[in-house]
Parts: sequence; C-alpha cells; structure tokens
Amino acid sequence: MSGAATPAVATLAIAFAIGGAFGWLLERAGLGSARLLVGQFYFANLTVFKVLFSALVTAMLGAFWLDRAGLLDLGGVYVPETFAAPQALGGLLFGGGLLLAGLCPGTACVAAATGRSDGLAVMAGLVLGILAFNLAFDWLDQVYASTPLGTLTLPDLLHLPAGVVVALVAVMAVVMFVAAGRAMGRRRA
Amino acid sequence: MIGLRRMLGLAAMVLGGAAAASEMTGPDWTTAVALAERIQAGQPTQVFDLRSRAAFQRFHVASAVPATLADLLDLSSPRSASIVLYGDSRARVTQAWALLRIRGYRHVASLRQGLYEWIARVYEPALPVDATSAERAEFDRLAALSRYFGGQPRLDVPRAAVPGGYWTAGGGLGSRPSVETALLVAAIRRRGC
Repeated sequence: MSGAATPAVATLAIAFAIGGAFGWLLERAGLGSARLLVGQFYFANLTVFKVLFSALVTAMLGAFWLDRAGLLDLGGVYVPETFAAPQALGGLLFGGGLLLAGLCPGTACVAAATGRSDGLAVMAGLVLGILAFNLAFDWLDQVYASTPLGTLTLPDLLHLPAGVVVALVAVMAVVMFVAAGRAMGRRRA
Repeated sequence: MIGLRRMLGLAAMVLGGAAAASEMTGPDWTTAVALAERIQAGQPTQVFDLRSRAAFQRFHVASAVPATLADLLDLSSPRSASIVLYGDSRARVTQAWALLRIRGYRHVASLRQGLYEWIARVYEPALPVDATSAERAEFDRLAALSRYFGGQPRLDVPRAAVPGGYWTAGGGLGSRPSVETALLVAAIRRRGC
C-alpha cells in the first residue's frame, strides 16, 4: 500500500465506521419504521424531530468547541454552496418522496438492512432516481446551477458571531424538546 | 435525582451559553482601516500572517510577515511592541494571541474580519452607485489609503455588489466582492479572523 493511499483508506474506514454507527443509532431510535417517520408529518410522533435535532445540536456544539480548542479547523470544513431555486425544487421533491415512501435515504438504508420490504423498495427507487438524474444531467445542468447564492451560513445571514448563533440554536433546541415532550405527553394522556 | 434528558439539556444550554460568552473574550480587535492608517503614519506595528506560506504568497496585508506559533514562541521584539495578528482559523489566532499575552506582550490585537476586511476596506474599497454624501466622503478617505497600498478603489459599484461586513448597515447579506477579490477571498476562511 502506498503512503499516499493510506490517508484515503483511513478516511474511508472512518467514514464507514461513522456511517455504521449512524445507521445503528437510527435503527435503535426506531427510525427504520415508515409509520414512525410519517407520524412526524401529522404531529402524531415527534421522535424524528427529537432524534435528528439532537444530532444537529450535538454536532454543532462539538464542532464549535473542537474549533475553539484548536482540534478542528472549521475553515477546512466544506460548506455546500446555496443554489436557491434548484434546492427549493429538490426539497419539495424530497419532501414529497419522504411523505409518499415514509422513509428518507438514511432510514431507507436502515429499513432495508433490517429486511423491511418497504425499505428495499425505496432503496431501489433511490438507485433508479440517481441513475435517471445522472443520465439527464446534461438537460438539467442549467437548472442545477441556477440562482447561485454562494456559501451561506447562519452567522453570515444573521450578522451575528458564530458563538451567539450556537447559543441561540441550543436554547431553541431545548425549548423545542420540552414543548415536543409535553405535546407527546398530552397526546398519550 | 436529575434525569439523563435534563442533564443533556442542561449541558447543551451551558455549552451554548459558553459559546456566546467566548465571543466576548479572546483577542482585542483592530480594524483594517485603523491598521492601514497606523502603517501609513509610520507607527511601528508588527503584523503576523498565521496562514500557510502559499496563502501568504498569494496575497497578504501590507507589511505582514508569515509566522507560525513556533515563530511567535521565539519572537524577540520588545514587550511593548504593537502586534496585529490575522489568519484563516480563529482558533489559531486565539492561540497566537494567548501565547503572546502569556509571554508578556501587552499590545496584541487581531484583525476584526481578517484578510477579507483588508481587501474590502483597504485594498479594494467600493463606492456604491447610489452613494450618500457621507459614503462618498468615507470612500475618498479609503481610496487614498488604497492607492497608498497599491490597491484599486472601485467606483459606481451596484450596492448589492459592495462587500459587506460590520462596517455596512446591511452587513454582508447579498454582498459580493469583485472577481479578483472573490478569487482571493475564496482561499480565506469566511468566519475566521
């Protein structure tokens, strides 16, 4: 194995380990169930919100403090550029597909891995969609690259220091978790 | 006995609050215009660029020298020296600031919005096409500074294309530097200092 290949292999190994852990946690949280995911849309079950928002807050606080400690350079973390129109269109398509299938790509993998037939069907649709998108990319290219807004972050948009935005999101998350917990409690009562 | 969920919520609140508080501490700020005026006036100021050598060679603040934390550890300037730091990592700038302060340097500051601010305010100031009289007066002052440092003041720039920051009422929203600036800034971390 060449020296240059080692970091790539290590990176892939780390990505595989993180992906595996993410899938296992999703499964343990019950997110392989389409019934549970769709419950989010009807406010019947807020597990998806709580699990994913917990992940977001944990990652945000971890990344912020690792950067502050000099262990992670956030400047080296790629932030995808915003393309307003195609991403809005993609969001609508994604939301429609999620509501229809009851699974998103990650949870579809989890559902498929646990042998659920709906998960396998969604994965098949996902692969076909990727194939169709790439075959049609020459025609979609104009839309794909339209309305570019560059790299946007909440601190840039709100004109606030990153630490203040982190604090606001953390407070918002805790308030939302409490509200979601109470709403679920009332529903069960 | 406090439950696990409450403990996690409390931890998130504490870490979030500390994140906001951390913005209040750390290096003292100086602005690009204040730094440029100091250099122009001949006031001795040491400027250290904490980015990579390649980034430094591509573009840097006038009179800046590249430096690593190890270089600063061996710095032998008088403790009363006026020092300005900038880089592409807030963590590195904070570490450098703390290192110099621990070593007894009393006048250490960082550039408030880093190299981006230097380019937007000093190297390539922009006059909006619909500028107010106050903005024109400010631009005249900045254009003179820019020419002193070999920069290129830009006239009649659409307001939406004027690089934004703490110095503009609308901040950075929707602002775009010129192509040349964009190429330079592309290599600079946006939220660093």
